[in-house]
Amino acid sequence: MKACREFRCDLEWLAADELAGARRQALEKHLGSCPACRMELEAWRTLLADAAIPAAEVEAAVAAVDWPAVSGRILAAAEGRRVAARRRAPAWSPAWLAAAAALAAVVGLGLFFLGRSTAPLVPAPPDPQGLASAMVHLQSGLAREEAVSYLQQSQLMFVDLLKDCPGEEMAAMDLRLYSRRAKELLLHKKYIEQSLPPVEWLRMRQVAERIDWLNYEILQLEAQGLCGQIQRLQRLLENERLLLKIRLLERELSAKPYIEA
Amino acid sequence: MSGPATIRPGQVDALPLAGVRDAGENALLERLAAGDRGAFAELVERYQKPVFALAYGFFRDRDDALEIVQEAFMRIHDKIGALRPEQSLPGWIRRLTHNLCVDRYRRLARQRRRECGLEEVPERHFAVLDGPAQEWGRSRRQEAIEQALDRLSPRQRSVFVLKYRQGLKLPQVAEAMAISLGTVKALHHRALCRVRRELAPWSGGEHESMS
Ligand SMILES: [Zn+2]
Repeated sequence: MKACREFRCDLEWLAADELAGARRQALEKHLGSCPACRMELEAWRTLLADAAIPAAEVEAAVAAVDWPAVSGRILAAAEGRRVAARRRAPAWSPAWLAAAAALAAVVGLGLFFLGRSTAPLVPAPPDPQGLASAMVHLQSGLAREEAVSYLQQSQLMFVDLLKDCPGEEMAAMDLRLYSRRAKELLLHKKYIEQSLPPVEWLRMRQVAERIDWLNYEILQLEAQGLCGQIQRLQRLLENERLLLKIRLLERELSAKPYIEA
Repeated sequence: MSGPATIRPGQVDALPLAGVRDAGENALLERLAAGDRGAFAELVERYQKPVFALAYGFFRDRDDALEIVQEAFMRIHDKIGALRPEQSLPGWIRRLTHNLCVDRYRRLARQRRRECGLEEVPERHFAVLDGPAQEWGRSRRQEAIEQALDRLSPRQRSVFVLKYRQGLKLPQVAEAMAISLGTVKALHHRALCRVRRELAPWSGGEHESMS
């Protein structure tokens, strides 16, 4: 007859319902006559029961979410990526808008459109019928999505930065990668500056200035003693609560309607 | 539009691990490949709750889970073209979501480690912007379990979540994590022993929360 010690290993698997066949039968037989092992099994089962999340809790969590808003944000961000990808393709960006503007002129709304587009880009009231206001919306929408994409890229980089250097040295390649990303962000921001509606740009500028400042810090990183420098930047990031500010703004911009269809 | 919440942690069907693609899935993928935006909206509608439930099992935090939902669909949006014909869409989504959870868990764990002493660190970076973080009262023992789970290695935590919060059997866990069954068993054993060891003080005289 096996000693308890040999059965103990299987108790965990029985509690986990992962034990079958002869071993399970042998263990169950042993349990019938061994109160100590029964108690041990009970301990495993209690632990697993306590660690499980009650179905009601998950249901409550699911129910507490504003799902249309969640999908709205996802779709807006996806649209932003598509637009950003197209804008990056040189054949597309200004030419496309120019073509659309030309179309507007042909349709007879040209003057109206030009009047609107040279004025500050205050979002027009929703007017799905009017091509002109649709164009204004389109432009604001594009700019907003561009801004959201910029904020997302910044977040990604800063999150990566926060992950680095918990002790080990960073490679020179990582440094080059950071520099490249910082440069891209600095360029990216200039582009947004021209096109975001003024009210939103005001908020954007406050955050973007801090992002710029951190990016310039990144560009000044040196290969010698890199982790010490990274850790300094991590402290700066934390003290400024910059990630939080970026995320807040990103959410705010993402929540705005993209284009009135 | 979004029906009553019916997702449960053990409800594997919501995001099956693998399986043959059905006709609906194929049609959806074809529309996605053709750049149909409605198809992506449909995909989001269909899978956002299961993705949330999976992430919730990982973090037991609504905001963490919502971050994962957003990230997961961005990843899906960017990578859907890379889905191979023999792969099941929900299985792929599950794996992708799981990987994101592991990444995030690693990140949070690193932050915690670096800033030990400052307990609210994850809150400062991933602060709750619109709602209370903890909407469910938890017993102190459960709190202790949660803390013990937080200290598991990412792989131990993965095994634990997939097994006990997603209801997978160990061979399925192995498949989801792309590691051997033997490794899964070893991780399972270490995870459970570790949680139990850390909970030892609680299993003594503390009965008030054993409801
Ligand atoms: Zn025994």
